[in-house]
Amino acid sequence: MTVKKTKLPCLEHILKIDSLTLHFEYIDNLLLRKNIAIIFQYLLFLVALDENHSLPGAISYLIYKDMIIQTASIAEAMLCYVLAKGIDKKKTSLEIMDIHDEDKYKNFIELYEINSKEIVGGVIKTVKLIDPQHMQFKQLIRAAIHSKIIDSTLETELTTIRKTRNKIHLSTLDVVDNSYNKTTVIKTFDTVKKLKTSIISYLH
Amino acid sequence: MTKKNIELQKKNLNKLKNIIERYGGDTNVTDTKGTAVWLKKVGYSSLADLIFHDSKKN
Repeated sequence: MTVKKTKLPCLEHILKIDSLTLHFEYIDNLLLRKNIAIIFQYLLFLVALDENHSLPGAISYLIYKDMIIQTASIAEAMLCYVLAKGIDKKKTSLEIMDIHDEDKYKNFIELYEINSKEIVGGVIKTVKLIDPQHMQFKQLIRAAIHSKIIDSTLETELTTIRKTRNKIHLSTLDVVDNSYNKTTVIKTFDTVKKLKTSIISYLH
Repeated sequence: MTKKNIELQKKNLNKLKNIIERYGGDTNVTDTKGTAVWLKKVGYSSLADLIFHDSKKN
């Protein structure tokens, strides 16, 4: 039996993806632009859902949580994009970003043995710089600071978003936190707006 | 961007379009101003600014 789906009245303000895409022309990667537009469309839907319906508390709470997670993913994608673009435009480099894997050591040469468990020796230390596409959110923020894309205030705000986003790991929560409410969501949007402004001014 | 990357992007964009169609298509709302006004009315000016604010016009 097929169930006929009905259109939700709260879809009234949910812009078409193509209409949203027009607002991200500063991103010349068309796939990324569209993916960001899709997330914004979803965010509009979450706002409409929360504002137009009386929902159980846990669901409202999770809607706010989801909004922050989705917005954090936009911030992460924007940072990755601007860093890669910065390299293309020779405004920054992997050396300036200075984000690297854990130091690795090779070619251990034994000099002398202190005891059966400790040996003094020499090694070659290798440092491998990471490109933006392989950086984690935390590293992207640091690379953006080193590349002078963001200032320390924005760094702090983005770190707050990152930490709030990381609370998706339920097993690590040992307290009931109050990280997800409308005020936090609005603050998150404000921060990402500042990031957008910084990116546009960096790229132009 | 290399020619190969552009082709790959086009391919992926088509894939994305097909997925959206398969899940029921897109909305038909194009009134940007209406959405911005609604967002401000429900207390989400910051989201409206994030989406619609054009920094180049500052």
